[in-house]
Order: sequence, then structure tokens, then C-alpha cells
Amino acid sequence: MTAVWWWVRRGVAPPVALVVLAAVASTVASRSDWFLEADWGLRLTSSTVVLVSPLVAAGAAFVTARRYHPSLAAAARAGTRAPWVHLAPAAALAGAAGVAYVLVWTGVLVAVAASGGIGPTDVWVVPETVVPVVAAAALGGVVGHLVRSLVSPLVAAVLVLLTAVVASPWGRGPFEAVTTYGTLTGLERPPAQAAVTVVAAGLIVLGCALAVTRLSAGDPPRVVGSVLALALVLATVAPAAWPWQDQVYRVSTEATGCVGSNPRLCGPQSRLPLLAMAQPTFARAYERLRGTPFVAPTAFRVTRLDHYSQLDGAAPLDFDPSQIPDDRAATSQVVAALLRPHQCADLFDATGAVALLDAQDVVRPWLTGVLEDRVPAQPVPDEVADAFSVVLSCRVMTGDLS
Amino acid sequence: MTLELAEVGHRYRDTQALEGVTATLAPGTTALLGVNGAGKSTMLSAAGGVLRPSAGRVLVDGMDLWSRSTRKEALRAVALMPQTTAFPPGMTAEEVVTYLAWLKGVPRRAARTRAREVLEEVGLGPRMRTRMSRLSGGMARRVAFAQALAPRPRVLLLDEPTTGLDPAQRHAMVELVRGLSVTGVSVLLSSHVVEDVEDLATDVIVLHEGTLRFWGPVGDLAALGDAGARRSPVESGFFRVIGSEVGR
Repeated sequence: MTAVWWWVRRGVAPPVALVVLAAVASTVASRSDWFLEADWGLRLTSSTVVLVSPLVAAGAAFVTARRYHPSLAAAARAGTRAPWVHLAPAAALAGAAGVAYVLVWTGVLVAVAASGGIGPTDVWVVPETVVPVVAAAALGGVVGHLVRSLVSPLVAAVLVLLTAVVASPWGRGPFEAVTTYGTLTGLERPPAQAAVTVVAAGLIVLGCALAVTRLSAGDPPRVVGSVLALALVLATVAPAAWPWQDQVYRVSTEATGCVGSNPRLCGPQSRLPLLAMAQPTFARAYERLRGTPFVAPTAFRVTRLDHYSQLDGAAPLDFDPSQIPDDRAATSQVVAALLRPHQCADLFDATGAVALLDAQDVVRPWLTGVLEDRVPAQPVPDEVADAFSVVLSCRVMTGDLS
Repeated sequence: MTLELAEVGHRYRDTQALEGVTATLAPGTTALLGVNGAGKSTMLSAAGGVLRPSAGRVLVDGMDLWSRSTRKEALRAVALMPQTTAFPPGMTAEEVVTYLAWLKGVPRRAARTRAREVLEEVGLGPRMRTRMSRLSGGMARRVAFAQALAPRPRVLLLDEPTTGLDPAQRHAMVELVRGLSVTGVSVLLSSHVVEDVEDLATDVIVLHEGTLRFWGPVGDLAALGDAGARRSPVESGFFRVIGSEVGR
């Protein structure tokens, strides 16, 4: 820690931390739809890893090549400390970037808590973000030892970006964290898949640690470079052996529950407080539409990734926390749910889908008007009733789309 | 404390920088003489544990400097003042010396205290909080000297310590090195300046084209010189040893 602290103070860690902080903070501040869901906000920050990693690698390479070398590196080789001291300048940068992430994450958690939202449930976001940044710093550090000229930062940044290109046919490179641009309600990051990503980046950290051990033992640069290259290839290619799915998220295996009545809103246990915010709006809509065919479903269940087999008789609910302004569900969300009393298989059939969508388009403005108290709920206009009967009579889909 | 080089050699790709050098550092000050490219810095780097020689062994009191089991202990006894003084420009003199003492195994607090002491010793007390970018070349040399002193080595290797110093600074440096010999520290210093050898050394090693050409008392080297030469006896002996006519 002693050596790292020196480099935090005297390297390029403070400006890099500020740049990372600005990048991550502006990414998360560019949207406000995650305010009720910490997982969403935290995963959104991960989108910056692909940019922060080359920056950190370049910074580490620069400090190591142009500040640590030649005098301090020579002294460290003749020193009695562990070989890891050679990575102290890089570790300072990783730490600085880490602090920037932690600050933004703290801001996200505070914002979510202040909004009465749901705290984090996906802990993998931390290693999936931090380990690639640490790996990038370590990679930059070793590159700085091997390439002492001013092109060293460029070499380090290109190596980081190259891994993403090489890995693209089978999945993700070791410097790409999984992000999201929508709600994660009902979804989860498969732990095994997240672990593979973390291990891949961790391999680079280990490879760099081994490389500096060889450096410290007086091995020539070609040996140190070979160790680094091997680690990079392994970290980039090894995940190809994993049976990756197309989607980086899967339907959550979390236990579900329901809130309220008439109708009940059902979904993952962790999101029930959000469903509880939305349920009164649904209940008011049901009250207003009493006696009409629109209130047939007794329950709505959060459905993701077209997994309709989980509906268990409930109507599907595309639930989006960003659609709960002022602690109540948006009219558009309620209307969308009422327009889908069950999942119609016709929606996945080109000819049937048009008729179905046309019918929904007839019902939507009337339903919106009713829920906004602009038109009476009774009597239901004939054309609306006829259109909704098309929706009600469609072929019900009970299995998964796949 | 003895520093022994046994058949030490080193090759940089296609250049044999050092070959079969065998010498034992005697107590007191030993000078290392040679023209540019003679292998002086390579030999000092190998002796200081910075550069792993491609052949031979470096032993500190019998402990192999590049053996895993004895390296740490051997390194504690040796310190090198490098020829280059490219320390991070953002670090202060005190930070550089503290950091390098810490690398040598001195605990952090003790390293800071020791850094202040040695910076005072080399006359940089008032400038210890000045960043390296604001120190003159001569001052940077003194910082390099201070960092070598900080871990209290028993063998001190100085790579051209007086290069870049003005006459007053050189005189001060010579006095500091002379003082070290009195405290029992074995000093090996490389230099282009024969005056340094005459002022400080009891023994001298002459390297030429990577090979050892002379190793013995300064007086013996002087005795080899040409009495009629325009140069000093030591300088004349040096040129004779390396087979050059330049000094005549």
C-alpha cells in the first residue's frame, strides 16, 4: 500500500480519476429512468468499462514507462520488496478508477434510496466492473515495463481494444462489462457467466503478476512479454469454451410474490415494493372499468424474454419502474397491460398480428380517455367493444416463445 | 563485508558488454576506470543487483546476489547510485529518497527520517521538499547519492558520482565519499576523472572492452605509467593498460 499511495499522489492517478468520474457520472446522469432500481443504475455505469479500460491501461503504461523508468525501476529491481512493487504505479491508477466508480455507485444508491426504490440485488456488477479495470491497469503496467517510449500508452490501449475485437465471435472480451439500458426487473445475470467474465479478466491480472515476477528475477523482456501474451490470449480465447447464450441476461429464478387485489400484481420478490407502488393505479382503473370486459384478468405477472409459461393464468405485465412517476403507475402502462389480457400467439404471426394491433389501436385511445376521466366508462362504444373482442378471442399462448 | 565478482559476463543482444570479470572489492574505496563503453555501468549494475549477468556470479559476503535464497539478504548490504538520475519530476527529493529507502526494506517511517538525514548530509536539507523537476542536474546527482546512502549499505556502488557537478560540488562529493570509507563502508566508484581516483581510491580496477585489464593498488597502476608522459602517472598507467597511445 505504501508504494501505491506514493503513486496515487505523484503519478497521474488524480487526473485519471477525475476523467473516469466524469465519464461514469455523466453516463448515469444522462438518464433518470433507473431511479427506482439500483441494479439498473449500477449496471448502467458498467457500460463505461469498455472506454475506461483503455484509458487506465494507457495511463498505467505512461507512468510506468516515463516516470517509474529508468531510475525507480532499477532501484526496485535491486530492492528487497516483493515483485508486485513494479505494478504500484498501475495499481494506483486502478485504485483511482475504482474510487471513481465507488463514488458514482454511492450516488446511484443514494438517489435510489431517496426515490424509495429497490436496492441492489445483483452483486456481480462489482467484480464485473472492477476486475476488468484492474486487469487493464496491470496490462498497462507491464506494457510500460516492456515499451519505454511514448508509444507505450498507445500500445497498451490498442491491446485492450484488440481483445474485444478478437473475442467478439464468441462473446465478450475481458474488458467488457455487461450493462443494461432498461429495467432488470425479472431478469438476472447468470452467475456462472458472470464468473467466467471475471475469471477471464482475473487471468490477465495473474499473468501480469507473473510477468513482473519474471521481470524482478532479471529475465529478459521477451520472457516477460511472452508471459503477458499468454495471459492475454488465454483470457480472450478461454471464454469461447463456455456455452454462451445469445442474451447476457436470463429470466430471474428468484421467488415470486403478488401484491394487492383486483387485480393482483405479481413478480420477483425483490421488486414487490415497486409493484406495490403501481398496484393502486391498477386498482383504480379496475374500479372505474367495473362491469366492462377490460377487467377480466384477476392478476398480472411480470414477464420477460417471452417466457409465457410462467404466467400461470395471469395476464402478462411488461413492468418498467420508469413508468411509475410520482409513486403511481403511468396511465400508458396500465392501458398497455389492459390491452393484453393474455399473450396472443397471433402477435408472432405476420397476418394475425396486423389485425390484433389494429384492434388494440382502436381500444387504446378510448381506454386512455376513460382512465384520464375524459370520457365515461359506460357505455362502451360498439367499435371499442368489437375491437376488444378480437383481442379477447385471439389464440392464447401458454408456452415460451422459443 | 566483501563483494566478489566471479567470472561475471553480460551480453546485450549482439554486444558483449562484460566478459569474465573476476575481482574482489577490498575494504576502502576502489575506483573503476574505463573509457565510454568499457562496461563500467554494466559491471556496477550487475554488482548492485539491478542487472542479472548472463554469466558468472556476484557474491556479497559469500551470498549469491541472484540466488533466490540469499538475494534479499545480499541486496540489503549493497546500494547503487545510478548514472542516470531521471527520477519522477513530480516527486520531491525527500519522497524520492524515502521511496527508494523503502524499496530497500527500510520501514516507511524510518525511511522518511533517514531520507531527511541523508539529504542534510549531502547539503540538500533546505531543498528536500522541492520537486525533482525544479532541482539542477548537480542537485539531482546529490539526491541520487543520498538515496544510495539511505539504507545504510555496507557496499556502496557509485556510477560516475562527480559527473555534472561543478568544482565546489565535486569537492563536497569527494569529501562525502572519503568520509564513508572511514565508517567502514566499501566503495566502488566508476569515473572518467583520474583526479577522483587519485583523491579517493586505494585500489583501482580498469575495464576495457568489457574485460578486466588491471586490478590492484592505485600505486601499482601509477607505476605502470610512463615517467615522461604529459599526463599524471595514474592516467598514464591507465592508458598503458588499455593499450592506447592517447595519453602520451
